[in-house]
Amino acid sequence: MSISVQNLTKRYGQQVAVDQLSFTAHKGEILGFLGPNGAGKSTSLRMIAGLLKPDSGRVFYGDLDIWEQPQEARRFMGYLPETNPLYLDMYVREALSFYARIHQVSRDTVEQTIEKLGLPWEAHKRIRHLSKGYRQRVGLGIAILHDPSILILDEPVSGLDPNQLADIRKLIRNMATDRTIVFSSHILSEVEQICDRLLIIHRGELKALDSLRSLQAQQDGRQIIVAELEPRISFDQIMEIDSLEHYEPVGENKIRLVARSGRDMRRDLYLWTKAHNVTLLESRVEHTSMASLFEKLTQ
Amino acid sequence: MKTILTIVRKDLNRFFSQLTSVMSLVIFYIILGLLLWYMPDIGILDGYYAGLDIYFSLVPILLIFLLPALNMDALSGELAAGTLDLLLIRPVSSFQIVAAKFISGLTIVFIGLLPSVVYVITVYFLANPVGNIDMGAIVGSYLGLLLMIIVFTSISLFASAAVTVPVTALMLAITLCAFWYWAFFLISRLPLFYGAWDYWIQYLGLDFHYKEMGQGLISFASIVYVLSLTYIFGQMTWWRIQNIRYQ
Repeated sequence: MSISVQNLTKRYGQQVAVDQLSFTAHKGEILGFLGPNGAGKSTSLRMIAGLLKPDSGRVFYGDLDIWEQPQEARRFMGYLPETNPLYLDMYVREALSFYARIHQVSRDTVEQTIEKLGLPWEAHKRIRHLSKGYRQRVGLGIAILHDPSILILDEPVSGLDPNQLADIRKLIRNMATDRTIVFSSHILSEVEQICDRLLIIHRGELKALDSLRSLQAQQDGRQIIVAELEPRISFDQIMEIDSLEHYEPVGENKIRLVARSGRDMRRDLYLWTKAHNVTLLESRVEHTSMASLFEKLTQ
Repeated sequence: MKTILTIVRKDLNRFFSQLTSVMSLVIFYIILGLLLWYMPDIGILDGYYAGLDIYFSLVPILLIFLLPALNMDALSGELAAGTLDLLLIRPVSSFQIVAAKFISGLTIVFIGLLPSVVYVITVYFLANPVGNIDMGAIVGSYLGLLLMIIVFTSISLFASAAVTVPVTALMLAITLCAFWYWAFFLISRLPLFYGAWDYWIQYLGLDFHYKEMGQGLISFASIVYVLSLTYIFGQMTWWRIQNIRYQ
């Protein structure tokens, strides 16, 4: 089941929190929601989850308009809010069983969820006594308990240690095979590793929506190659390369080469080293990092 | 109905697993016990005849404080913690939430009031000859108490939904319960109304109907009055939940 968001807008007084947001997330896809603090991520996710009514715009789960057929739509959606609200005085198994009964899900499913999330040793504990990471797992368990086709996860990996992170990452990836997942996180490396496509939002406006590679290509503009050459040469000679615009040394034998706009420098570089009997010890195309991509789009 | 019962079960488990919640019932009985059995001149043991008049005149005053205390967390706590959000995104209607919270509140009070039957049994055996008590008045008063609990629970739930801070919900609920119990009697005493409209103004207050039932007079009008008040506050709670859902 896909999620289709059409012209979603939310205003708080004069301030536009989300402005005409539109996108579609398909089954089997993990869509990463990125944006700086206050960009409108959580507001957007709350509207997509049906917790906040937009001033205008519509959200569809498959063919279901979530504001026209809310009861039907809610059956297909699991949501983990950023604050991860839990009944702290309840036991883990008790809390999961409560939501299972609400969705009329069997006891076996509760046990399977406990197992899946690595909670068997914590199931008999009160949620109050769990660490933040385990509470996050319980929240995730509550979101996936009824096997929803659509999963909206607002900062699901915050507070997890590296081992827990790897487990949850694996779990989310496995779940994505037959679900649509919208995933927000401020940990850029997590989004990079988990998500198939990225949606970058800033001041309520959609800034970018594409795969990481495509976004990097769009932002890179000019090709950058970092090369290590042997023997040491006068770098000025390298300006003979036609497609090279300028260079900057980055070490004794290392050089960063910036191509002219729209030119691919790789072949020229290879031919130049061959012609000058220079050995190319290492060469790699440098992409815009996730962090600088994020910075560029949200400044 | 299954969804309502699931929420009721969860609320009852949470209530009776918290020492502080159970303590509020214990404190209620300690205060009530001291007033009933140890208060000089007006205590049951100092009475001229075996009866529970003092119990039925004290309990409404204690309930004005007890019921808001028992229900203050019911919705405001869930609102503040964000757990209400998790219910609202599930296939649970606003009516089911209000109904479940109302049933939970009533069940807790009824369980809490069960031990008071001991007072009836005690007075029954204290009477001379044994059993010489006005059972009609006692049954009528219990019915009046039941109807008052229904109204106070409805008011307390509304207060709990109206604000996100449980203590504020407590204060609001106490004010509203006290208003519906006493305010109309006090207003009727104003010189403007006294001797003219005072009866009809008193008629709007809960204490009027409660006292009537205590005399064994269970009128249809009183039942309609109590159920109407319950419905009005229940409807306002529902509106509030709808408002939160569609904020």
